[in-house]
Amino acid sequence: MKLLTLLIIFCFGLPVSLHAKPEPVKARLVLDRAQVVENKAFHVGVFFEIEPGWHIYWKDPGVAGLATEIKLTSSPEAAFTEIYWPEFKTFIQPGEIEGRGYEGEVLLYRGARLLKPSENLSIKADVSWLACNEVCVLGKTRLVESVAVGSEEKLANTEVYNQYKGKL
Amino acid sequence: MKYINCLCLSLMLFCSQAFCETSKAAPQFSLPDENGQMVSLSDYKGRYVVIEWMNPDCPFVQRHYQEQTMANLYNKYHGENVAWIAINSTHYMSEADNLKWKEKYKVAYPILMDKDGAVGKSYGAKTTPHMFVINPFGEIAYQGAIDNDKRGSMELSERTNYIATFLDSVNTNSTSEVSKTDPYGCSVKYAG
Repeated sequence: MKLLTLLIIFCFGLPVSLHAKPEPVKARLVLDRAQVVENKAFHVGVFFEIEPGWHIYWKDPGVAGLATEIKLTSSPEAAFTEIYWPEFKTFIQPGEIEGRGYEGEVLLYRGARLLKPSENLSIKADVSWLACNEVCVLGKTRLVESVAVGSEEKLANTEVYNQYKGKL
Repeated sequence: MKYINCLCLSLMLFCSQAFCETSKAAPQFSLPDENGQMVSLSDYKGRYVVIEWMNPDCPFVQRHYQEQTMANLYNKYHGENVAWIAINSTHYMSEADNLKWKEKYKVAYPILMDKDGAVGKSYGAKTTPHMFVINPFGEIAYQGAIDNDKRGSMELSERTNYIATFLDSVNTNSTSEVSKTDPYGCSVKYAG
C-alpha cells in the first residue's frame, strides 16, 4: 500500500515544471464582420480561453509579467488601430507582487479598415502572451482568416463584441 | 532537519525595512548553495557583488541563460573586485534543482537556495531575473532589470545591459547614471 502511494505521488505529484510544458491558453481570431466594405471600420479580435488558475497580462502588466501582443498584417493592405483593452483584474501574488491581466476568457480587439479595393481580405495575426499560475509559460500562435469584401457590411460575432465593448 | 538547520543558521538580516532601497545597506544573508554549503554575503566583503534572482522555470531566465547573458557578463567582469551570486527564492524548488541548472548551463557561480523567500523579500526581489549590485561598502548600488529588452526581441547590439553599464562605470571610476530601473520577468514564486 505504501509502495502504491509512493508510486502515485511519483507519477502525479511532481511539480508542474517537471512535466511537459503546459498550454493553458487557447486563442482564436474573431472578426465582427462576415463581409467588410472598403474604407469602412470593422474590428479584428483575438478571443482567449484561459484555463482556471492561470492569467494573461494587460498592456501594463504590473511589476512582473508581459503585455499580451497582437501583431496584425493583411493582404491587401489594411490599417489597424492599437488594441482595445477591456477592464483588467488585479492579482496580488505572494510577496505582495501586483499583476494586472485577465482570467477565464477575454476578447482583445483592434479597429481595422481595408484601404484598397479587393474581393476578399486575408488577415494574419501573430499573437503572443505570457500565462502564469505557479509557473509561467510563454505562448504564441499565428492565426489567419479571410473575409469577403462587398458593397454591404454583414455583421458577425455580435454577442461577444457587445459583451466586451461594454467592458472597455 | 537539514533544511531547518540551514534556516537556523541563516538569515542574519540586519535590514529591518521591508524593502531595501538603492544606496541602503544590503541585507546580510547566509544561504545554502547547490551542494548544501553555506554562502554568506559577508564572504565577499570589500568587493562588488552582483546578485541575480533566478528561477529555472521562468521563461525570461531560460532565455537569458540560453543566450548566455549571465555567463558572458560573469566572464567579462568577475575577478578580485567583482563577485557574482544567483539566488533562487522559488518556494517549490531545492538545492538539487539548482545543481541541475548549474550543470545544464555550466554556471560558474554559486546558486543559493532561499526556499522560504525571506532573503528575497528583504531585498524586495519581485521578478526573475531581478538584479542587484552591492558595492564594497555593503550598500545596494544598483537594482532592477538586467537590460532594456523585456521581450527579447532586440538585436544584442541594440540592447542596453544595465549590469555591464554599471560595472563599466566601476572600472573607469566614474559614477553610473543608472542606479535603479524597473525589473521585468516572472514574479518571484514565493510561498503563498
